[in-house]
Amino acid sequence: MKKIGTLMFFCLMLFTLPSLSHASAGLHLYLNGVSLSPSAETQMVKSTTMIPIRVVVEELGFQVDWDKKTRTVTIHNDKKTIQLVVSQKWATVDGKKVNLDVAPMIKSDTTLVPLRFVGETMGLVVNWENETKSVYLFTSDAGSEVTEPKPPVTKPEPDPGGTTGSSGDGSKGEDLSEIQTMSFEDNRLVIGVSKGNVKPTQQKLTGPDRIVVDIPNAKFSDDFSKTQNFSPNGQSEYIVQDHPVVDKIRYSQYSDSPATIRVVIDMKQSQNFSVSTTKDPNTVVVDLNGGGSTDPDTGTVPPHSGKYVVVIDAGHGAKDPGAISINKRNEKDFNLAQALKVAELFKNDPDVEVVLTRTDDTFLELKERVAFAKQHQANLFVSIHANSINKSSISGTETYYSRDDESKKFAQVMHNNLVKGTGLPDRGVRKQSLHVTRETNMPACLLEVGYLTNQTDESALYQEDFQYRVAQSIKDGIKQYLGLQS
Amino acid sequence: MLKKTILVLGTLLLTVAIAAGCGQKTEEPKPGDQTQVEQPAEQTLKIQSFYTDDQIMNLVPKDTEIKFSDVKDKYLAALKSLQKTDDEKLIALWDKSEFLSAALKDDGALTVDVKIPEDAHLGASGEDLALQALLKTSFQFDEVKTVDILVDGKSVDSLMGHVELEHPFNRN
Repeated sequence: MKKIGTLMFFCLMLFTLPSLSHASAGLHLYLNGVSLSPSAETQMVKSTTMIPIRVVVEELGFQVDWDKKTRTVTIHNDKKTIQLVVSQKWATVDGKKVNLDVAPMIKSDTTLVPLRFVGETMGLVVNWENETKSVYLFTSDAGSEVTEPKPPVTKPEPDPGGTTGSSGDGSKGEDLSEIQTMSFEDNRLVIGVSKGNVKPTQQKLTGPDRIVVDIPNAKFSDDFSKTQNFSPNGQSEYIVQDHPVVDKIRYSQYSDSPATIRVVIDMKQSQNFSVSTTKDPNTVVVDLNGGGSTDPDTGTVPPHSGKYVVVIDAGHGAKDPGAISINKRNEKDFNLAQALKVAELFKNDPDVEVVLTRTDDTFLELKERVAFAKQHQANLFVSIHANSINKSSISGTETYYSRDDESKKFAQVMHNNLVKGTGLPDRGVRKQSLHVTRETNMPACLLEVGYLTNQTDESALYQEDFQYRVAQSIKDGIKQYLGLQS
Repeated sequence: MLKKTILVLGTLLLTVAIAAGCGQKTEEPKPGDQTQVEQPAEQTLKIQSFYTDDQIMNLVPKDTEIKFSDVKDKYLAALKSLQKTDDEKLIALWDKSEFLSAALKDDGALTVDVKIPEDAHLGASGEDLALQALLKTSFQFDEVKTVDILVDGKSVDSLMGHVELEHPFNRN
């Protein structure tokens, strides 16, 4: 039973089926409890359910436009507009870019789009039930009015759990948020709730180390409860396998009046974390991506405060010196000095908060830099580097981007300013598949300020006044891109 | 007299042994091989090697010739061709790095072990092009299905800190 709970949890969390690759015989779709007409084309791709756009139009009732020339699908209702492009792993939502796990695709003349992304973006609550291979979609108004969504008329498999489900007879009509999903992935616990106005509280306890998050005015949804194996004391748990810091996650209806859900993350060691909420989809997020050690003074709560957040990433560090200059100076030291000067110039800026991936000679893997930017919900990402090639005559400034979205425009704006700042030959804006500019999900560029293998560039790069000029040009570029006065 | 003969004979044997050692790496004779150690003939193969232009913009293929005696050494010989070029318009992206080994398993998995001294670290585009040069050079051999690149024998995230490595890279 516990196993089922665990398994269920696991599946909910990724919306996942480890391995269904072929068309999904047995994949069921329900909207507000009503079975949708089966579609042969609906299928799982890399654990993402893909549905034909026909289903989006006919069954979900959104408007869809298909531009054959640009292979762009536009899905909209009166509130939201999504644009997806076939084979592109990103989409725009009301003009803002977001990354996709699986790109839209064309299979035998049918365009398939990721169901969860489309559903949740358009305001549906999307639940996956692994045992029955079913996707339950709820319109959000149905979610708040109907406490007990109608079970599907036909159940392909009997419920092996046997739990009759404590259908919420007493709690009907109350104005409670329902906990619908929980997932733990990328060091983030994401709790899907039916309403967007939850106000979680958090505590960090020691001996043993644990994080306690209380969600007031909340209860578990019936569908969620059915997937859980609550012990007699009303607690269910999920053991996180082989995680460096998390042991297990426990949750229960901690109190009935006021109705409070308590989620406890049992930790193997103390760890910084942040708790935040999102709307559309409505979630409570407990994010553990906050540096290894615990330091009560430097919480990892992003420094929001109504400002734009710009992550400045000094490339390389510590064991990775980057390139070595002709005078045997390290690239990593230039990158750090330059990044610190950018941060200095933005100090007390009313509009922009600069956050540095590193402030000293430490090493971060490329993916950690990306995770850092995402965790801080950065609006922009700038990585600072210095160049190197085994030909000493090559000199100049280059700016890189990887994604043909806003990154391209951002890189161009940054480059125009940077070239003025360096005064070195303009070697252009270039597209290259670099990890930090490709995997981030905000406009991102990487600056190769000059060549450490060129005498002129090198002697300039390590001068204070040059670095201040370049820092100012980076600041100018950021402000220009954000449409702010510099 | 006898002593002298032994000495001469001994010197002769030694010379032969050294000569053999200096020549091509001889394989351990496998069971079933003929008793006489076959000196594998040196083979010459025309391949494509990849460099970049002096703008460090594109990967530029160039016909080169590699020499090897044992077919097993083909991949290492091919990769070593990336370390220099006679074409002055081109830049050899691997000139300061070292290819320690390149071994192909029966299933088509090629494991390449490289050493990248600090002064061989390239910038963003240099690294990306160097990686592409290595992969394209390796995948031109049909039998190579995957390429796993190790640095000093270790599986690392990135060669030079801009581009991530896949372990292994699959043929596209």
